[in-house]
Amino acid sequence: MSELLKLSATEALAKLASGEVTSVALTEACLARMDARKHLNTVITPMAEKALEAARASDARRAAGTALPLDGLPIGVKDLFCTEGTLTTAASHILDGFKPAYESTVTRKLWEAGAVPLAKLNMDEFAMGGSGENSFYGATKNPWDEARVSGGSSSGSTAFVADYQGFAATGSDTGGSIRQPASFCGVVGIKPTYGRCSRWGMVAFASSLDQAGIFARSVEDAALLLQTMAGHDPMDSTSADLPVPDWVAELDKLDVKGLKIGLPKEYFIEGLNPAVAAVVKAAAAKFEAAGAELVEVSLPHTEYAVATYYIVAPAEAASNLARYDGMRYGLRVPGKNLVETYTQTRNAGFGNEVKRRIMMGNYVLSSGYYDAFYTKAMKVRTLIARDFDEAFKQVDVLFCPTAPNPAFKIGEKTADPVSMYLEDAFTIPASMAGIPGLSVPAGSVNEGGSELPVGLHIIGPRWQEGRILQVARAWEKLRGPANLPFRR
Amino acid sequence: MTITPEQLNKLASLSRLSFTDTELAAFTQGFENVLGMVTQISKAKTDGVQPLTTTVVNDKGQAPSSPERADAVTEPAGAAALVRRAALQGSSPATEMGFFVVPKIVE
Repeated sequence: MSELLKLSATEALAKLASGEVTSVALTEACLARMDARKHLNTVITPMAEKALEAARASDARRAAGTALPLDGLPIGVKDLFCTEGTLTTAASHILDGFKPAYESTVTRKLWEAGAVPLAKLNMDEFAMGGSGENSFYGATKNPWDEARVSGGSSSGSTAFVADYQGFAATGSDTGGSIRQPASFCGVVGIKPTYGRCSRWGMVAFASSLDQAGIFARSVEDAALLLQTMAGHDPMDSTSADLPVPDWVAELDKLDVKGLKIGLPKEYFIEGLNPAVAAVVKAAAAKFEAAGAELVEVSLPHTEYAVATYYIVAPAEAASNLARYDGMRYGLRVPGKNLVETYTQTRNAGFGNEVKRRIMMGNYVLSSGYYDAFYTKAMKVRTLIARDFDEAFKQVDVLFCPTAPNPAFKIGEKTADPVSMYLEDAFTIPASMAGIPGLSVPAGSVNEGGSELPVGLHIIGPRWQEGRILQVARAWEKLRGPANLPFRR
Repeated sequence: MTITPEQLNKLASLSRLSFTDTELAAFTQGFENVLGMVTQISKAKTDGVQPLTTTVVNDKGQAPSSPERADAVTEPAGAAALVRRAALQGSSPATEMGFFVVPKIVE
């Protein structure tokens, strides 16, 4: 592997700025790595030609003295961000051949800042899953142990970054789809506050929950990429009209002394892998030794969060996915008449998990069940959000494990959807409340002879991405270098 | 929680999906397990609680008013419109003279 790939995004940009390296050289190194590591199945659509063209243009801008903030940095894109003229599948058969006529706001901002697009990355179909196994294109393998999943739904993005195939990758998080895979692959993953990034041009799953974010190998890189992606967009009515702070400049301005860290008692319970709990508690103890105060807090409605999510998200998904009818784009399987064409197209185009969620969504929205399920869930959602509001009156941030277990084996949970859903138990509540969360590598555990990473989940109040980034940065200093597979 | 094959088939039909008997048998168990799990929310006490309608709120907990975009035509006109239409229809399974071709609707 080229030594260039071991640079952080920030280091790579510094070398580009000093002229020590060109974007073409970085891009070629990434493309060679992607090619050599195809068996991990991180990529759905490589963009080699576009990448090299963008890299050459970037080098020309640098030579002309007109470099942009991310100029020449090669990154990957989760395949649910629409990319103009490039296949966008959301890892679903039903979007076969779909080449959008427009660019998502998030990716447009990255390209306008000079970033270089390397590939469209694998994921669970329509972001529905926690393991990557629901992709029409097959599961992504975890670079730490290739018999294990890389997490989901942003399965390709996290393994891509952990495996040094690119310097960062976009992701989306509806109930944990950035944070859980970041934890499984030992990288940094941040889901900002709902409304911080525009959803325009993101293939919709559950619109009141979907939020774009980023995977990177350091907190500084994550802050840099996120502040480029974030910001108000008139094309998304739920995008917040708020200024985006300079999170990178603020990163080292936190004094850990006096920081109040909440440990929600409902997260440290039976069912949590004791070795995972020990890693997270050890991280909290390091903060305490550095002068932070640990406070036990309660989020009493946590027990209802997974059930609430699996009502709200499928309800929204069933509505959003009604658009896939085989008429205007993507797959069409002809039937004898219009309705049969719709049905055969959807039968062939959707995978089992997507069908289950469409069915569940339409069930909970049915006449006679709507109030008992959907309205009730929306009320419980209010209670979950209030729990966090109360907790943040006492503490600055919350710490918990990102996931109750490290990465599990491919195929281990596919027969039991409920056990798969429970893997998101620690990320779903923050999604329901719309608040920001970040997973940063905390340590590792030995599971079946494999050394596997464990993420520390840092949750902050609404619009306080800066605070959780600062705390994560402080953790990086307390922890020491990250233990990625190819640095061991 | 159990659900009958008739209920599932009706739901599938409304969802524009269908299952063979074998597929339905395999589908039912997982569906019932998920339904059993989500039914737990009935235990939550929600008297007097308003449903959450948005999480996009300011520091005072207030939701901003829905913003309106300028009432302007954003799609191109003239020859550029044809180029745009061709791009939008480029991923279509069937088009003819700028129209989407769909199966016969009126039998």
